[in-house]
Amino acid sequence: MTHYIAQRIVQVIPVIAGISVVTFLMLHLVPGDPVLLFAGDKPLSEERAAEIRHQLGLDRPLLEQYWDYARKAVVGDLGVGLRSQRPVRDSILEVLPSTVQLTLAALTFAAVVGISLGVFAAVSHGSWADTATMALAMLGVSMPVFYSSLLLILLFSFTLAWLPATGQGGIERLIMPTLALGMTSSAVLARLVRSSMLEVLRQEYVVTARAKGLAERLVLVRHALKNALIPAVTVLGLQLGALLGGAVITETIFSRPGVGRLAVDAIGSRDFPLVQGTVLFVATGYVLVNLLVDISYAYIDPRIRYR
Amino acid sequence: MQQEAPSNRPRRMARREFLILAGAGVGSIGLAACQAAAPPEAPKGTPAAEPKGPAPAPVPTTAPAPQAPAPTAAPAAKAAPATAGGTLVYALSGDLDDTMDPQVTNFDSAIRVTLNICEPLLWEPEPGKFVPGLAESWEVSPDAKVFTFKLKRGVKFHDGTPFNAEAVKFTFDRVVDPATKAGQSHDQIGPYDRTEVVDENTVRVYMKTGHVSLLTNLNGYLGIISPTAFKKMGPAEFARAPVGTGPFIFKEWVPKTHIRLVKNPDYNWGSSFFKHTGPANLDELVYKIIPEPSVRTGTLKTGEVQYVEEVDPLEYEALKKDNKFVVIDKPQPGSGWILLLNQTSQGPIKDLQVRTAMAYAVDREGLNKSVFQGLNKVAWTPLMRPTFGYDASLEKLFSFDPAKAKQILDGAGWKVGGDAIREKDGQKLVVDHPIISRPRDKAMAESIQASLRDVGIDYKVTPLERAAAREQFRQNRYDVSFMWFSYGDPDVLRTIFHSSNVEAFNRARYQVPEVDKLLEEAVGAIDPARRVELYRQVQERVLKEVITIPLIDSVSHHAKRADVEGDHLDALASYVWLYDAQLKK
Repeated sequence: MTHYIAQRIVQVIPVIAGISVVTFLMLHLVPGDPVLLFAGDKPLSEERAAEIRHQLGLDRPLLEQYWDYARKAVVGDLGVGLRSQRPVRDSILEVLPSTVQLTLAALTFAAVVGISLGVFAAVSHGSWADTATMALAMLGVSMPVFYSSLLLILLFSFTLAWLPATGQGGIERLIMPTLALGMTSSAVLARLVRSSMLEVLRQEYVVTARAKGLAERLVLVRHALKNALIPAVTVLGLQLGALLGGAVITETIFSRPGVGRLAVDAIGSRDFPLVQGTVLFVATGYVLVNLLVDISYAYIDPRIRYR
Repeated sequence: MQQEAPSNRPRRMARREFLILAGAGVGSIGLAACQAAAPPEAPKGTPAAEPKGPAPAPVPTTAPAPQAPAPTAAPAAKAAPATAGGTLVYALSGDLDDTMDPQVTNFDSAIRVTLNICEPLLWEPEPGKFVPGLAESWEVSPDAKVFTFKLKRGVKFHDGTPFNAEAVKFTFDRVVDPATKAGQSHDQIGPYDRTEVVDENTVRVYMKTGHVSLLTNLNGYLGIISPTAFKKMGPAEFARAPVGTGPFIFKEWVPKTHIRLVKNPDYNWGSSFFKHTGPANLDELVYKIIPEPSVRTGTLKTGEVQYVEEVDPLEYEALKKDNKFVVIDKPQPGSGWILLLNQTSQGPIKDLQVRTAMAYAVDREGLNKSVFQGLNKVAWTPLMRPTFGYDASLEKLFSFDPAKAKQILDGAGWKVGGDAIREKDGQKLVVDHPIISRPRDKAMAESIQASLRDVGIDYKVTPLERAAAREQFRQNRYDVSFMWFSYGDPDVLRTIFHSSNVEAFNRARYQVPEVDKLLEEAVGAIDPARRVELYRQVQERVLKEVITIPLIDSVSHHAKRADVEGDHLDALASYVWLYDAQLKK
């Protein structure tokens, strides 16, 4: 077990290093001179360009620049925002609680609703309830976040006036973003849990369990669901990426602070340290969460750790 | 600013017929009287008078509000119309660029907030009309190189320190200090040389070359900040909680969500332009950031906000019909959406006949309808209508006339080929237009494409990522470029047509010494009549040579709830002044 965890952790290191190289190179890979990107659309004299290049440290050899960047990033120093003059880390930490709150809420919503619907559909396999549930899930998968967000606002804020449309703070401002963001993931999960449940229900040990007279509820929960959930856990981890991506849109529409919007707005204001820092942070977070998923896997499914 | 900028980032400033001697209007005399009656400065340390009215809901993640509390409790003796106070919520369409330092930001959205905190020397309520701000009077030298400002007395920053000539010098000097990493303010201050402190209440600002646009540029990115507060707080902290002399004091900033300001109880130096004196009518001013247009407009309807900018075009008609709301349309000054035709191109557009035919073939009305729901105005010159020097006699020089366009092309030897595209000597009539891949740019380009196709011109539109598009322009691989520039002064034409800007916004790569001379003379002249004449000549010339094809004059659309009164949209149709604003009932 320890060996398995250690192995997974070691595997993560090159991934994070790779991410840091990519985020670092981002600035150099976009077409055009990074100095022009910083200076924006203003005409720029040669001296001024050289001055900015020096200010940003872009006149040093690339390797040296990367080394400097990576060395600082390891200890959590992501540089200073060009406009705000504050450490990028502070800007991220400031909006992080809002992102964590929304992501966790959406993930919980997705898990609860997705798994329940999936199990329900599997149990009522072939009936109209199964068809209806899966149609609903299909709708959820196909509906883009920006569309469902606007529909929710239209209904709950503008028509019924039950919930405030914008801002952050209080449960009433969390409900709609959570629904909008969690809807797609819950639909993905529902479909997955249904099919994996159906598969498990055909297994011999389920037949055995039923044969020895176990209550149907126990058969479903202890024998079937526990095994059917294994792929769901992986997908839930992967869905985190989708949630973070969708969060940018949800945050923009509902005027919520968040890491995703921080990055997108930083692109708009050409604040490169801020863009790099946020991307590095989010990507690393994503890798770490999936590491946790992998480890939790070993607990859920002993077969994995013995492989 | 120009076409590549997102809409929340336009440049600013206007100017117009400026007066050699202005200011010192009726109001400033009244104001002096008012000041005399004002109570002496109270001891520091009294906590800022907390406004009554609806208590703000506490927000967990408040930004620091480190500045010293306002010096004195609400002044008793001051007149000021008694009104309800209350909170006005204004919906911003775009976020700030992470700073509220007026000299550092690049975004108009930041200035919309900071103008309440860091006041300008002059305000410009309508294009070319200046009224006293922190300066009570001003003088411009005939060569537009020396600007002398007499400053108001008895003005205090929110940290209790006095406003004086040193503060003006400090603010202007830091714009050109590389350590500031100045944003728009650097362009606005122009060929700044230095500021001389003549005495406690007089400054002289020197330019290296004539720069009449300084007056119009004062109102925004050049708002005056408290040197003491800045030195004490440092740039990072100051950018989170700016300190000025304005009618509102910074209270909190919840990033990406809202900014809250409270009224300055000591404020009694408002411009003579405003309708009342003393502190602002509102107790609180909240700027909410709501980027999504339909949500923004919807919150106005629900009452979550009272004022919105950039009304959703799809909601425009409904709001206009509903008497619970007031829609404010105001045309912007500067240079509108125009096409610039690359004069160094070796393609068919080097032929004046082709360019002329294009000017006749473009359906501006159709473009306005299809892209802007008809909410803007068609453009006829590279200056938008409210801009000083706009020459109305040039209107409809090339009105929509596809038949005439075809006739000109036929006459020039461009014959319709098999695929309905014209050709001459084996060369196809192809015009190349790289654009930044954005919905509005695409829609505009496609409208033009359809118009030109009708007369047999193959208008190739290539949507590119922003940096790639800029690279294309830099390498001179294009025939046509879009441009748009909100600016208060016709000097915007120098940015677009002066030969020294070929590597910047002169995307027509137009290099004509006589035109350069006209533009240089105009920015260094202060006689309005002379300037009008110079700009008339420039407009006429670039239109007749078809260096540019004007398309659309932009109009800003704000909306408010009908119970909001006393707001004023400035000369640029960009900043809403809310000092006089109040909520009825």
